[in-house]
Amino acid sequence: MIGAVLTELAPRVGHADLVRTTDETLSVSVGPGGTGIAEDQVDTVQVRAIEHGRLGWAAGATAEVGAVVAAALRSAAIGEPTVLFPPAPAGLASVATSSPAARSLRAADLLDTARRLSDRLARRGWTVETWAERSIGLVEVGNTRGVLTSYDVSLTGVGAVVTAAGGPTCRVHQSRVGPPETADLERLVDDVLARLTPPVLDDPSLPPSGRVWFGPRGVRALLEPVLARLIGNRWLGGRSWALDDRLTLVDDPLVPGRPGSRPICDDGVVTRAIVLVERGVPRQGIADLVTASRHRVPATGHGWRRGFGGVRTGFSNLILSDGDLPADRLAATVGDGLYVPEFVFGPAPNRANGIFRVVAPWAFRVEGGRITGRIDGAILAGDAFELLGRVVGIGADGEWIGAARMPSLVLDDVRFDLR
Amino acid sequence: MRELLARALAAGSGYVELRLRRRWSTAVVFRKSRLEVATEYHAFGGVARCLVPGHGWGAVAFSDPERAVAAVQRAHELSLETRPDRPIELAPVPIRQVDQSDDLSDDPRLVALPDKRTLLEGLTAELLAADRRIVDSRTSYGDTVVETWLATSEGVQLHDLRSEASLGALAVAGEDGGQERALESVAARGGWGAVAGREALFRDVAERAVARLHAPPITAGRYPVIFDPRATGALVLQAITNLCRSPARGLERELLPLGQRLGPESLSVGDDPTAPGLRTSLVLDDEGTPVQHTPLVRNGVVVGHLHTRETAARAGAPATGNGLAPTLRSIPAARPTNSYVAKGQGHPADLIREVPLGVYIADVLGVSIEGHQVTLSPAAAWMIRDGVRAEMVKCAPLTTDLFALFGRLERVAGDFAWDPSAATLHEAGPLRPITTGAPHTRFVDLDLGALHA
Repeated sequence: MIGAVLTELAPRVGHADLVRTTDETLSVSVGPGGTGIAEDQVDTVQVRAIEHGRLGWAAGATAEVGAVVAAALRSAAIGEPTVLFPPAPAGLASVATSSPAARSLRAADLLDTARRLSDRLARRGWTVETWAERSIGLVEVGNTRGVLTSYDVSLTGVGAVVTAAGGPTCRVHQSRVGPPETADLERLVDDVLARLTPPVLDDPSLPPSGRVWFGPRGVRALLEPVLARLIGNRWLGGRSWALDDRLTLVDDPLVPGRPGSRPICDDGVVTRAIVLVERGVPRQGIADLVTASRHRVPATGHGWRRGFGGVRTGFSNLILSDGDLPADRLAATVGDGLYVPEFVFGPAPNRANGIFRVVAPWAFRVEGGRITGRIDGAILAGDAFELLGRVVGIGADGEWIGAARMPSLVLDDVRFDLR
Repeated sequence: MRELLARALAAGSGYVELRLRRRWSTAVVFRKSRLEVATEYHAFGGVARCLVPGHGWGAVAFSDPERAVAAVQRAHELSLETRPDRPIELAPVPIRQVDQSDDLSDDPRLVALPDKRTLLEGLTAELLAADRRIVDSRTSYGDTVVETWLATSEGVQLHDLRSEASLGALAVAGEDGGQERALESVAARGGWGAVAGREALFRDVAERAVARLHAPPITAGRYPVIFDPRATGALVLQAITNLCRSPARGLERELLPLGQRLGPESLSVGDDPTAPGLRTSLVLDDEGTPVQHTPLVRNGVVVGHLHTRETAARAGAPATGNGLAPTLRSIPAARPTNSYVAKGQGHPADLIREVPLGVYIADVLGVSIEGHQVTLSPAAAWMIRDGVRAEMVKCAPLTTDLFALFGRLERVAGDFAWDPSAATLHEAGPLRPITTGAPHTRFVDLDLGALHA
């Protein structure tokens, strides 16, 4: 579809590029509130044009692509003077972005998955809601230099929300390009059991600071400020920093079958794996086409232009290298401290400074090298850059969490508090 | 459109609900003096929902009005595929036919995009010229016209046309290696004229960012804390109103139980979609339920919840008219509209005058809640010394237990103001606009932790 639009636009503008995305999402939920099935279909196009050296942009429904093109040209007429270095056609790497099995999933299949997970989690006194979802679609990318390609996409997700009387709500989920596997469901069950079965400690006797074993989801949250410094202008004009020299972080869009996998970005730039942080030293940030052109550096293939949102620079699949600490040695390495499988970095107005002070609803006391119970109302505080600069241990337990593969980390001198 | 709605409704059976919505919008964004975006959008979204007796919900969202009939048919099929353990029921509602249109005499769609750019360019220049220490800024202009058609198989019909415009400013000040930021926004129902004459807002946000540069960190300790109306409104929205929203599936958030004491007699909270003139005021919600004023906390005790028709039936309560969808194609859930804290007694100056040593917090950068743990990041804070607002301080996020927090509410002043800023409810997924209103409040003995720890 976009080829015809580009052909029509080419003689009228200095440059144009288009992204069309289609998506059909089918989701089911099973729980005490009832069973529901929802389907969502959307087909949108984004048009970016440079006319008389000025950049314009618009988005809208593909069915109204003529109006979207007109809006992009009106936008360009008053746009910022911009020099853009649009990519030329290039060979694409082969990467799995879609699964035929996922594409064939129907509502009954998803209901079956959600019900199986619900059955596995059924416990006396627990309230369980489960959901399953599959999304299928197409991404078309093209520009007036001749880039014109498309690839199918699929994504499935399965998750649960569980409450035990008096405890916090436990939310777990998993996503992948292919259909949910039994192993995914079992991992979710294990995760819920690990969180909800330890007793709540009346007196956790917390020291003011100490070691924390952050599980893979916790590590992903802790990396937020690091990632913020690796994006766009902040990377290209940023200050120097370093992490522990055992930490290596890679962004790899060519891992088969992960949610961030794709052969070409929405700017039309061919994607490739990038070492973001090598042995603690930041090596490469990411930039979309406009930001990179502004700084006269190559775009890295990280432009995202979906739906009605503007251009966003975003990572694809993040991989933090595993260490050598076996999973059964992580608690022992902490000795006296905490295990935090997951937390949210918090409402910090500026994540890039790395400073946080957050409530960790899932925090477990580790004493004598073993988990002794859950702490209600634990608060964690520190500077993420300082903490990641002195890593005690890196787990050999790396696992995929959506588009990120993270191991556990044991970090020192995290400050503790109780509400 | 009415003919299309009627034809589509006939394609399903049981309870059928069809919502069609068009949105025209403009976005202009500057990063410092560089234009980042200036564009217009037009979008359409529809949602068809069916509830066949003895089955669950089937819902289909679509983005082409031509699909309306097919969407109802598909939603009907999906409903038949569900086998709920117990039947889903809907609370009865009065059947209304409503046609509501804002006065669009200064319709923002009739203002040329270059004029909108020029407006924001001028306001941005005001911000950047306010002080040499402004090192970065992000400013925005937006307008939206939304037209909604809603029809149900029970006979509800709604046509609603409304318009709003908004401005936003983020200023970053820097000096001697330190950086501080300040935020401000305004959103008002109406057209192009709603954002006229806002130069002072842009100068003020720059001055606030600069003022923070050399503010000393607060000394950690326990203080009486006075929240201004905006901070009070934001805190109560996230920590109380949000927890009085009956969850669609039972688990996406905790629900404060009816009868629970939260705070003193002076604490009363509610949601009032009937408040006149606000951008989030309504006549019917997205399920076609007539809206109403809903008290949530009266004299410190939880007395009500916000409901959709489904959650109301489950709770044996009347529907409150809070079934709202945040996006064009999303399904209604219980959401607040105009969340308020009722005014108390006394002049706000008295709240300060009575404090020998305390903290005054104006506005918030964010409030989040995890379980019953509330975290509030102050936007600006000043020490109170001998009953007078004194020097500005940097204040770390305040983290506390919900019940402990409101148990320490000591005074609710007699002032009240609806907040004109472009506020949203903090939740996962798309954000829906909201309005808050509150007076000044004073809490005793709050633990303000040291900065950075």
